[in-house]
Amino acid sequence: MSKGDLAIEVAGLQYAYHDGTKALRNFSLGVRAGESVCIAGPNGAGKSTLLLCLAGLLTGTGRIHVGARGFSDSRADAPNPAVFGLVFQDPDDQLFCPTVGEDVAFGPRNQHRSEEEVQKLVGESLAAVGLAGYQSRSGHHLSEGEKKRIAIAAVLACQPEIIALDEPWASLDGRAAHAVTGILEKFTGTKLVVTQDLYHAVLVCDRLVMMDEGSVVADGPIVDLLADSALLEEHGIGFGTGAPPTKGSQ
Amino acid sequence: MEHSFIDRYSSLQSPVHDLDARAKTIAAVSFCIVVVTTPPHQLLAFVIYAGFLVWIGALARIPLAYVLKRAALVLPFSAMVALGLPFFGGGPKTMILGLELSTRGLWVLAGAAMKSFLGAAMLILLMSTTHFSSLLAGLRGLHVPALFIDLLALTYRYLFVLIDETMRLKRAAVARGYRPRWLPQAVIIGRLIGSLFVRSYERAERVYGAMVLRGYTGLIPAAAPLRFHTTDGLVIAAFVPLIIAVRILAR
Repeated sequence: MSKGDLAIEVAGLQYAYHDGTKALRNFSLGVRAGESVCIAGPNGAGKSTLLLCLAGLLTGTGRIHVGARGFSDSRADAPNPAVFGLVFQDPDDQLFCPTVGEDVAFGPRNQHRSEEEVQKLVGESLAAVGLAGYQSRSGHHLSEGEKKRIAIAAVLACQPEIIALDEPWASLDGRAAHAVTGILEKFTGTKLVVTQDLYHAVLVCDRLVMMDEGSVVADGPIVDLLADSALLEEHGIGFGTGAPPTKGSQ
Repeated sequence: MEHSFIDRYSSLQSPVHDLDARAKTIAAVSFCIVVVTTPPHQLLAFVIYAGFLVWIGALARIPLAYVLKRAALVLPFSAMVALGLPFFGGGPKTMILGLELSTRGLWVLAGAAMKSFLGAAMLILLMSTTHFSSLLAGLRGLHVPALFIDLLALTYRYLFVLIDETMRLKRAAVARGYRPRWLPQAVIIGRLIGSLFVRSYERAERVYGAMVLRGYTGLIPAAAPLRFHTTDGLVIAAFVPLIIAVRILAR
């Protein structure tokens, strides 16, 4: 897929939970290959539901096109780890193997790669998140920041075209958050970052899509939208006090 | 939060730690079978079995107190099963502390306690000398059903998460003044368990989703194969006949 082609295209997506709560209402979005998009919005805006629909874990009505997968009318195709990688908010949901090495190797092994290639990918992915040599460590002995980075490495090892992250900076201290930001800056594929943390998002993303009540309420360059304090206020998101950082100010 | 309840000493270096997980598993399972089939009155055999365990523990540098304390956890369970036998068992009777007890029942009770304790101690030694992932790889190498191994792997991984979750719930209750003193307050424990169940169910759904997203189709793919050395074969060839000989000869 060349840069400029649409990596993600969503048209008229609707999703309602079993209790009737409408999480996504006629949602439409286009993301070009190589683009870094931040999706922000208040709690309950439908951001995480959108990611699960894009990943193919939830099935709504409407049309979704993700990477190499073709248009589908509401039914998601089987998730393809080489196309769409999702990093969950809670790394404990994602790291289920006894050791870090096995967890990172899980995706590549399911892709039926040779063991030599698997080990190479594991080493490279762990190095990419600054945790080289962690193969034999147990997942439950890691700090929250390390778990988050391992969860990213586990997705990177599948070499996805698109990486999506649900609240990547949540519950992390400054150092760990800085490390995650660094990893995302280096990833050259398409990035979709769902977060409330615009302080870090502005360092990673060029575009901001603001959601509220399941729909897009604003879409544009992140720097421009962040300057519109009335818009941020109206939809319950913002930096709090202080000026937003800019790229390269870390 | 860190937990090291299960395989705390598995990262030590010793001749026992260096053995292949399959060799240790075969030896441990053989030991348990032999112990379980030993009649309770062969006390000398049980002493020798215990001696084997102490020797293996010393060789692996696992503290004896650590093994004894954890192995003792099985005793209440074996007691629950066999405690009634001295009272209701048939055959000759004997008087202990003014109670007329069945001799046969007492032997069965003592046998159950000794066997469960020794079996548990051996499994604790196995866990303490083998990293859990190697143990799973060993079981896979011994052709234990893959689904069972996957269940073990997930149980091991999420046991710690569940412990954390339980502690968080308990702290949340205590922080709001919960002090369980009266029986009616036990209702709260029921609610905590219910909450834990719902959270676990929801987490299981998220974990499954994460697995599917990385290509899971029903079985966790096998890790790199283990290596079986001559020493591993020799250990099995020596240990298994030795314990069988004890079972037969030590009367």
